[in-house]
Amino acid sequence: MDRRDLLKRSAALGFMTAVPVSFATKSGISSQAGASRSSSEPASSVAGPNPLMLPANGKIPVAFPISADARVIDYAGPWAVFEWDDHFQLYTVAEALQPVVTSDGLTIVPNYTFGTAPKPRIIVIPGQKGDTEAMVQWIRKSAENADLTMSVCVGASVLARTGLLDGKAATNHHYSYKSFASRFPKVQLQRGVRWVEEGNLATAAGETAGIDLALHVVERYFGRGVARHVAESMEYLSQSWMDVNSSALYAETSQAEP
Amino acid sequence: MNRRELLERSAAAGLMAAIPFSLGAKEVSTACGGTAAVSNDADSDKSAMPPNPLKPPASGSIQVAFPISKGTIDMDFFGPWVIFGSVFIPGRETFDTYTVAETKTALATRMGLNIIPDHTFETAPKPRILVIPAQVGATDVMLQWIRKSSESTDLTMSICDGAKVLARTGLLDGKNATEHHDEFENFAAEFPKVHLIRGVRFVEDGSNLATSAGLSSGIDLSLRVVERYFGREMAEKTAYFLEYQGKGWLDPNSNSIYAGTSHIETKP
Repeated sequence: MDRRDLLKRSAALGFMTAVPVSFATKSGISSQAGASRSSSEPASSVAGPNPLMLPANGKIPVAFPISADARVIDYAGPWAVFEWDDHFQLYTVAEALQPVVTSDGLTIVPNYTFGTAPKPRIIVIPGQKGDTEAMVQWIRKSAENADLTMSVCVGASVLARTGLLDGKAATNHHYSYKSFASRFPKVQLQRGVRWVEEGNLATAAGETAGIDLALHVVERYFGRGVARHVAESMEYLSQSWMDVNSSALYAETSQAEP
Repeated sequence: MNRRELLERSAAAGLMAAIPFSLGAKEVSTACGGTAAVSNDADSDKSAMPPNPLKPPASGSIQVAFPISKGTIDMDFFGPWVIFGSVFIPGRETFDTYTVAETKTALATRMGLNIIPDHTFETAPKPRILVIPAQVGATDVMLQWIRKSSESTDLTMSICDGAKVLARTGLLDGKNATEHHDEFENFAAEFPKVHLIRGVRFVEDGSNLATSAGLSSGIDLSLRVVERYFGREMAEKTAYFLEYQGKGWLDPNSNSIYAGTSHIETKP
């Protein structure tokens, strides 16, 4: 697997398809600049409807704040997507460098503490149970300069704790719609969407939806062709990352909740 | 997420569709011989077992060991870890996942995630399932441990380029196996005794061996293993809980786009 040539190869592919307007733009939730790009640009460099700017040089730092019981799929899904592009620098951040036991017993030694972590351009917040006030503060402060602060699954609760989602739309694992809505009444919970984008914030639905949102982030930086290439390199067959409405089957799930 | 109630809720959602049986081990072998695959007719009994079921222990959990070393490919290992950790059945334990390495010193995956192994090869509980992710640090000690453990596993499975680690044990000699599409040629050259199958999502061969294609296909092979132990409905519930929309686990032939070549750029 020669991943170093990924981008070069992808650029040569030129199999871009028309990019559908994302849910966020369609619903008027987000009005990020750059929603319409010139169609005269080469297809391989066309990013999504709300592109993110690459840094002038160096890798894109991606921070994963973790604590006890962090859901492995929530952080590992996006981690594995960003792994496929040498343009990202991935690191875990926690309150201390002590080992953190994440879901189903996977023990991780964090790369950095909140005091020592490099400034992230992307923050990925997985579902977890040990989120402290220190983590919430670090996220709030780091999000000021980040290109994107994204939660996965019930990580939306950690993001909501920062207050940054107040008055904004967000989603969550279908299983937690009801508890999220009652705990964070100021957040406009969206049900049955794969992810929601709000300015420099994004929230993914449950578990594997983090993979899809991460692929969408690759698209926002590098264009759909590269994102598709990353998905193909991962042999990721699901098409759900190209359609925010692919979680529609979960829209009514909460009605079955007690 | 209160996962204890998951199953009842999922059952109430009533979203399980009747899905025809996919190919089993025998059919894959047949396909290798060039004959058209034989598929079973659709079975409306969703709790029916697949063609090559595995028997869960009467009580206790199914031990799932992940032998790892420095440079383990993250996705290969995360996918199965998450699937096996997300199977919830009221009143019984399901899968117990743990990492095994030469020492319990923290080791970095390919992308720098620092994992502290749960056990060494000397201390690891006897696994019923072995999951071998791609890695460059597999030593002879690991190979010996895999070979020996596989004498009593229900299933020894490799993910992606982990097929090379499994092949190095000799267990795949004369058997069918698959690999990440980018490594077809290297694998075929390095292991001429293994029958490499291209363009399949996973291969099941022998009584206790399976190999998956690249990376995310490990998720699908793991769902397939859940099906073999607990039936298709349970595998569907697990995928539903994880909001996993991929369908590759239902069809070993779903990777056919990768069959023709190891150069992905010719297959847009």
